[in-house]
Amino acid sequence: MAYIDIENVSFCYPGQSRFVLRDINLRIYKEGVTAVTGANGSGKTTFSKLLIGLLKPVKGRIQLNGKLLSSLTLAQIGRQIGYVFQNPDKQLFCETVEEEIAFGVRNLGLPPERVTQKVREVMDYFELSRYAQAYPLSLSAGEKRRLALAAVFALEPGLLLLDEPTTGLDPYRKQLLGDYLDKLVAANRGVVVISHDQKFIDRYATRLLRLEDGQFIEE
Amino acid sequence: MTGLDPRTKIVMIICLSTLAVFLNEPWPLLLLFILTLVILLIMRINFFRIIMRFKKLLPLLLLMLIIQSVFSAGGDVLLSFQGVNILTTNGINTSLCILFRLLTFFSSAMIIMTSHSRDYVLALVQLKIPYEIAFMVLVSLRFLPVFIEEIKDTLVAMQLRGVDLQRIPWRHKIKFYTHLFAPLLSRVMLKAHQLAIAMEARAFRVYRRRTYLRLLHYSAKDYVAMVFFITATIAVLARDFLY
Amino acid sequence: MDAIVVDRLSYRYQAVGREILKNISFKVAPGEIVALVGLSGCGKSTLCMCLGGIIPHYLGGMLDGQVLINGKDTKEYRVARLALEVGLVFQDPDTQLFAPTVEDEIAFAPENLCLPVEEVATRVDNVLDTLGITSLRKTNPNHLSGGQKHLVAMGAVLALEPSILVLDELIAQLDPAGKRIINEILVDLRRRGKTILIVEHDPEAVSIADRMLVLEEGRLIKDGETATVLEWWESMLRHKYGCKSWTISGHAAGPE
Repeated sequence: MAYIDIENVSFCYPGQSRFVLRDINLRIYKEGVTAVTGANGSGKTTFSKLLIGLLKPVKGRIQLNGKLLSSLTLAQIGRQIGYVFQNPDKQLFCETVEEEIAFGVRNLGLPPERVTQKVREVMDYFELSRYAQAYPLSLSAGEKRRLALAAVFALEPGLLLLDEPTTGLDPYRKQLLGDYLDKLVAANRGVVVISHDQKFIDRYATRLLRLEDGQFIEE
Repeated sequence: MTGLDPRTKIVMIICLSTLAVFLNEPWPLLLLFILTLVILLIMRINFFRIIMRFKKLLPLLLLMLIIQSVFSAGGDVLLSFQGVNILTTNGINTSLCILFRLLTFFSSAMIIMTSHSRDYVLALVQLKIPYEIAFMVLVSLRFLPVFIEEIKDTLVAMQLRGVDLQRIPWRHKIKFYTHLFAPLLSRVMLKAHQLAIAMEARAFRVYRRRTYLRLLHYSAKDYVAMVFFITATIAVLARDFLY
Repeated sequence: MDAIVVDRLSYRYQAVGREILKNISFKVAPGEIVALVGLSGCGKSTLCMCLGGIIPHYLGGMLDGQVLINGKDTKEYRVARLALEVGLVFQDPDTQLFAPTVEDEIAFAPENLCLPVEEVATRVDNVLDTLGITSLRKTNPNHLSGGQKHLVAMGAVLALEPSILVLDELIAQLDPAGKRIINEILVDLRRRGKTILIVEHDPEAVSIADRMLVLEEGRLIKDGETATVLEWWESMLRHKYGCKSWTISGHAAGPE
């Protein structure tokens, strides 16, 4: 069964006549890496916002795991789709790096010792342990992106949605991200990546969607 | 009227809101409001959406209407219940005044939006205010919408990490909002610091003076508009004070 | 006289903290394009801050050693004064664009220099034209795409016409068209005797450099001719850090 089922979805911003997305029919599965590419301003980020319910389609409907997206709260959607913003600064709001990762994990209903353990695991993996007590916004650009990725990965959602995840990452951190993507795919989780990093797409995409004139072209 | 100098626009706004404060009867206030709308129309500002937002204030005005009727004497009684006046002409008058006054305030303030924020900085500089201060105003105007956008995004990010803002009790909600404001405050501070660096790294304040690519110039219609607004305002106020 | 002289430079944010820069020394001659590479957190951006005098004037901390920009000691001159010698394009365009329109953004620096209005206007026109962003003249920088913001940030510094230019992770973030434009501009600036320091972590973005420096955990570990050092660094990335070839370059040329 499709994880996300998009039927006849069209979207335009209020007060504008131009449709950013037109009559989109698409199924996204909980497997492999789906890459979404397209020129600047083609509506890639708009598409990602529709998928997590931040924007509502003007026409058509989106279902997540068989449930209508519009009937779910953001909290419910966040447990099923992990979203990393294009600008990670906006999704960092805690006092310390450790706190930032723990924030979401605590909402999972795990016993406290399991929470601590999980936070430590994630920090180790993303090599953030040395910054555990640092203030998130004082980190370097690459580190902030890593932290935003880590905080969302920690929730173990079925599908991850990453908007331009390789921007600002150096070769070594890109490799770390790539390794984790491999792990996720092996653990039967789906990943949707919005990117125009050609080498990254060539290496990881199992499915390639190109957004052109408001519609997807499958490649 | 679209090409007016920002300084003229400020004078117009001051005149309109001064009149709104001093006029105290519903009819003249309604007239003033209509005049403001006409000005907005000429300036091609779409005021419809802002005015529609006032719908939300209607219950408050209704409450005001009843309070005024109950507690202030005078006027004809239109509706009473067990000896308490529920609705009087006086109450209607007062609440209509409040409504039109507020409408005039908000719609006249919209005149500001027809000029670019840069022009206000130039206006300040040309009014001999130190350019450092003028630029502070400019930068804060420029970043206000950015910060509002960021608050919204952060709220979304929090909810996506499992916080159900609609379903948690109020005391907890407050806790989550503090999560929102602490980083916002530090982000504002950080940004201010980085902007200060970026500005000085582009030679800001290297000399005591600086030049400006564009400067404001008064034109004939600015003088006409200003003279008209100031004399009209004084005339109306004088009439009010004399009689 | 050398354009940039960094002499036994060490830096830490706090007296007891970790050393970000450790005893760095190098010189850059006028008319040279030098690339400075290293992984995030190696101290690249901190070094840029030292070159513009932002360290020590804005960010405190403990600075040892000396930085000379066109012979001027950064400790003794204000940042605004140093800006006449060295133009810094920072990593994040959102922290350096503050004007209401692109035109104002680019006019800002020449206006500060007290240049006559005609000269300011010429500089703005030229910069917009070279960067191919004339159509964005009246746009609010806040409404631009990421790539366009980077170009505007670059333009704002170009209008200053400094003799030394420092670009902090600018090129790797641009799309292929943007990269081409910037490379052309840099080659042209070199021909006119300007000095350029390109700071990057993407090896492919630094191909036009004459010389390359590698920074690792605050230490300068390599300094030499670009092709040789690049090969050396890429092999270090592969063997020491286990990087596969797809990571070595980011938004490589090819269809968008």
